[in-house]
Amino acid sequence: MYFSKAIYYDGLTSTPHPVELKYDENKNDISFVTADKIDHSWLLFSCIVEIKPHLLRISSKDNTGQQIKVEDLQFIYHFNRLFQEGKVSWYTRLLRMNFLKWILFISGFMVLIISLYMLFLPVLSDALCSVIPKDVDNEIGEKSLNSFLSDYEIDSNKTVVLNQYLREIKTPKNNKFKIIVVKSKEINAFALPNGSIVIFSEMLNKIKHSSQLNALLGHEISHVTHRHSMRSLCKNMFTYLWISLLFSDVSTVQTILAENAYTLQSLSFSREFEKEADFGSIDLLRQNGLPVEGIIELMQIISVEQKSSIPQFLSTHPMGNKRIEYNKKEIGKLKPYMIQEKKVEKLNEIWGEIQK
Amino acid sequence: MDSNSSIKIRFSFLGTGGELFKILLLNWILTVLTLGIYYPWAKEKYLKYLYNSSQFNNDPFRFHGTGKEMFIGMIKALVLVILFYGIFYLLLINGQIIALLVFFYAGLFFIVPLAIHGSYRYRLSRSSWRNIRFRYSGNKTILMLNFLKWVILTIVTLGIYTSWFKCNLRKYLYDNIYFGNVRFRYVGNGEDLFVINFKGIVFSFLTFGIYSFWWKKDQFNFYVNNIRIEQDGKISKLQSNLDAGEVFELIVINYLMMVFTFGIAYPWVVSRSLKKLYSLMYVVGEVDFDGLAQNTENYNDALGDDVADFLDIDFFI
Repeated sequence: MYFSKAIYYDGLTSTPHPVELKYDENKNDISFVTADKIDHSWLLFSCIVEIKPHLLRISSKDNTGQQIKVEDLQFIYHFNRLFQEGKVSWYTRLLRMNFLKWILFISGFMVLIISLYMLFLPVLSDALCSVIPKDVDNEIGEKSLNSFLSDYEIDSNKTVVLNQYLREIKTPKNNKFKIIVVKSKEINAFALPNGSIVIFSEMLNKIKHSSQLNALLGHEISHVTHRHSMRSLCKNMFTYLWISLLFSDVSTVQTILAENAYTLQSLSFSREFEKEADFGSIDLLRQNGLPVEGIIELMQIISVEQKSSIPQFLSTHPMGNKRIEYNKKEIGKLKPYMIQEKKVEKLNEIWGEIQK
Repeated sequence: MDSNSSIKIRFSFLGTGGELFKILLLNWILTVLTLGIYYPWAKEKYLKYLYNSSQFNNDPFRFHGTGKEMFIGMIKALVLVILFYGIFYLLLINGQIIALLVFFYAGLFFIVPLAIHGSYRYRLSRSSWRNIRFRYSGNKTILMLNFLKWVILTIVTLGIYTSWFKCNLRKYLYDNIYFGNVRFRYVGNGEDLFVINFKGIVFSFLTFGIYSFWWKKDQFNFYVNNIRIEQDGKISKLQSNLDAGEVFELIVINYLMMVFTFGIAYPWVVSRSLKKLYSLMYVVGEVDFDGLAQNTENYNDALGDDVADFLDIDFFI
């Protein structure tokens, strides 16, 4: 049995009532008598008990708002040691976990989040992409092309000849492809979802043989047939949703961090798509009866240009050597096929025109 | 004046960054795992901790709201927000730009005061000290009409009226706050706030922003020092003596803590800011805070509080 001076609040007024508090550790209850001679006895199982180093607060759970406040340190010490707590909520139990359990809990959560992200995100985004009609690809492609071309000058002569070149290559039927050559010192080429393939004039200057051009065209055509732009958009959208779910309602700094994570992740998707486009190119060239070795040569050209070197984890394109390696492996897997010499000759002829 | 009038009754914050960190971390994990559904319950836990750690005259405030109330409010707010954006995009797609602008601003003028009103009504009815509940008795139609009038005056005067707008809004809200048998009053006027803001803008510009710490200090002290508490003709004042050095310390240290920890220090920033601000605030005057009597009104609609959440309006007092 322990005794202490305490303050009682009746829940009806803010007036502090000094009382003599008795704590019975065997019954696990507290009792006191108020100035109006009323006996109060509270079973601690049905009370909210808050213990701070210098303060003990006991509130009744019956919505009357009655409270007891104790500041006697010795009493608080004994009470804390002996009192039996009522039902503790699962939330409070989680909050009271020790350091090791917290670490395990957070690690488990992170593993779950990452696994859900890795497993479900690609499935969800591909499912979304598959229900988006092809017309949307065309519309987006057309708009992007118009906005891009407003900043560049088209090389009309080369554009005409290259489209003639493209007509000699059998392309998948469900897309209409066209080539636009723009004048630029940059070494680049890209495909838009409507089938437009933009080649920068400097890129053409670097290409030394028609087989390398075939590889480039095959690569860009594969980007379009695999709907890489639309799939990237869907994946980015889901990644963004996922990250905003994770970081919603927290500070701005964390949001900035989240934005960066989003960019890096989308880059990793792009590398995957680049590999798919490389293999698509090999497949397209094989179907056309054209030699595939141009792919390796093209990679070597790009590799030399990339030597100014951005670290791989920041680059959208897989780095040269690694890329050459997996393409060589894929070519090695090909069964022997007939090279269509006439087609090769015709392409060489047009290639000669382009070089002029 | 009796002898109580010179006694300062102080505020204090007993929470710690570590405890707050655990609550916020657990809330974050639970909210993510439930795809956001846990958010109202997380908010309940957070508010309960903040209230419980905030003390006046050595006794804590209490928040009695529940996650369930706020969840219902959140669903209602979500329907309202979806409806609002639905109509907005419908008008946008159909190219009815004038109708869209009218709808957008009319909607905003309607929703913002409604959210403030609802938030005050819910939050205060769920707040207590020594179990004496707070109460907000404002009328939403009057607030909405006033709000509209103040917005128009602010636009017509090219923003000059902003100081009066802020004071009028606070005056309307505070004059309708009751706390047991005590009521609040706001006595700040627009002219004084205008002088503070005018001085703030001019001197901050001339001193390349250095004066902004004094400006912030003046604003904070102005808002706090004009709050009065009345009980049967007796009056107490809320006082704050924040100085520019303290503003500088709070802003700069908080900023550095946030930047260098990528935001992880947020709970420590909250707790140290509240500790500092509470330690500078006190009530002085004749009101007997040991003689407050209970008020029994019960109000459980959290819609306003949740709409305010969607609009990112922080509950301010």
